[in-house]
Amino acid sequence: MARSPFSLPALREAPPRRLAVPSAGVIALSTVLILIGVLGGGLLSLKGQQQAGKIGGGALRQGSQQVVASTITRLETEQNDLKRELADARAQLDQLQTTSAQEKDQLSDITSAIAAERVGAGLVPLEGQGVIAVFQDSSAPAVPPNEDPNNYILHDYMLRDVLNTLWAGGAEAVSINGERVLATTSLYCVGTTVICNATRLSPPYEVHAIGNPDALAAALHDSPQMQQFNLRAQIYDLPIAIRKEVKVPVPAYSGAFALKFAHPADNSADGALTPAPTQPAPTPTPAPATVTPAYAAPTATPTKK
Amino acid sequence: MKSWPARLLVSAVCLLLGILMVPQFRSQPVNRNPADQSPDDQVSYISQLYRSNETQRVSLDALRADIAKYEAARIGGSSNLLSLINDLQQMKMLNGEVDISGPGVQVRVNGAGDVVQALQDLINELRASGAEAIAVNDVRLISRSVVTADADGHLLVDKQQISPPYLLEAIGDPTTLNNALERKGGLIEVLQQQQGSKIEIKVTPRNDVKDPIKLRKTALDLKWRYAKPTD
Repeated sequence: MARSPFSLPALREAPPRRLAVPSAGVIALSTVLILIGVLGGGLLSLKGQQQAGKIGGGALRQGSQQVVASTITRLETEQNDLKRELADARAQLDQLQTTSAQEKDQLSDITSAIAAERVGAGLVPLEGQGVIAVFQDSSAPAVPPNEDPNNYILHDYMLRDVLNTLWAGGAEAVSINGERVLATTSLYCVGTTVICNATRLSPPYEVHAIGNPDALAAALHDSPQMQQFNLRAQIYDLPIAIRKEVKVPVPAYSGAFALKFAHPADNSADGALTPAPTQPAPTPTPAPATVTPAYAAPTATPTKK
Repeated sequence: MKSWPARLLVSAVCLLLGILMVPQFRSQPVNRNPADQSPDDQVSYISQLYRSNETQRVSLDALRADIAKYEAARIGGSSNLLSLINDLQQMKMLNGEVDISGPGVQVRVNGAGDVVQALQDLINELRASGAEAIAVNDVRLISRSVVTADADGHLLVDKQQISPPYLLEAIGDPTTLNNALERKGGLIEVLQQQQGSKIEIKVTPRNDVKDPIKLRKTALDLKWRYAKPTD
């Protein structure tokens, strides 16, 4: 049995003797002590409750129920708003991720398409089997009297014949003195030099062509387009050296492209171009265009530029 | 009250009673209000709401940061994409792979002279004068294109046979192209000196925005059997 204060001998033994005649002093003292006890207990208890109130309970019990209700309402509204905003943000992010993935696919498609177009546009240096042909002005020590010096030098139209011959012979890429020949490339004489891609070229003219080496070499030797050039070369000692190579380098075009006048055609509805017509059947031409070379007989003075 | 221990004991009991009594007095009026029966529940509900709202705000902030990142990347990506699409279109125009239109000149060539040479020279002259794209009898010229004649004298462009009258169409500055061909001592004069009345060449500038020259794309598909990009 635990020793409680009530089991103390003092409490059990004292009252029977003293209860009958409590002195006034004792009563006063007891009253004071009880008062102190009640007040002290009250204070202690109050303090404990104030501490509890700081956590919430006490203040709520004292405070207005309205504040509590409006706090709860406010927080619930906030929660609903947050939930909606979260859902919206997730949907938006989802959309962005999808779009981003699509754009990445599109980007890689376009990037590889551009890479392919760059090869066709001559912006990529190429190499492969082909021929290297070197053409020079006459090696004759001097132009004989009464001869036209023009016959002893190379002209733009002669080099154009070379290029046309190579393309017709199946060349895939061609350059002349390091200038890539493009769809917009022209060759024309200015004085004794040839302008190509706005660059001045002078002899010897070294033409690189990638393609079937045998076909290209044969074309340069034998094609009708080269007939006059080859004849003149023989007569006036214009050195021509054609060699087949396993690895012919053709450099990239280094100039600028500017399409100022051309626009993609409006292919919408009625603006559309009709499909390419089937090639008309060969028409019997009464006076067919001759295959004779570009310029007059070698002995004649070229009348061109 | 003779002994101090007894007095102290009574005091302690009274103190205890006081402590026990005060909550009784205090809690009585609160218990009378039914709306306030579970303030502790309300407190814990409020703090729950606080916590979950706080958590949601944090994840919302994180989501919004992600969205901002994606959008920034997308703006960059889209303009990048647009400029790449434009680059690709330009390349395709240059390579003759799309139909194009624009101002320029039309050159009609007819006659029994050396039409192959005339066409080759005209093409070269038009290119030298800034022609951006050329077609011969509706066959678009690309870098590999060449006008030749077969053994029977029929004209071929890219191995397709073409028949007279021959029509060269070039997109570029109409005035520049026209003047380059028609000028004194220019190519047309030279060709006419060489071939005389055997050849007939007529240039028409085309400057009407509403009726531009239209060039169809090439039918050729470039094959690369021998050429490889340099490493």
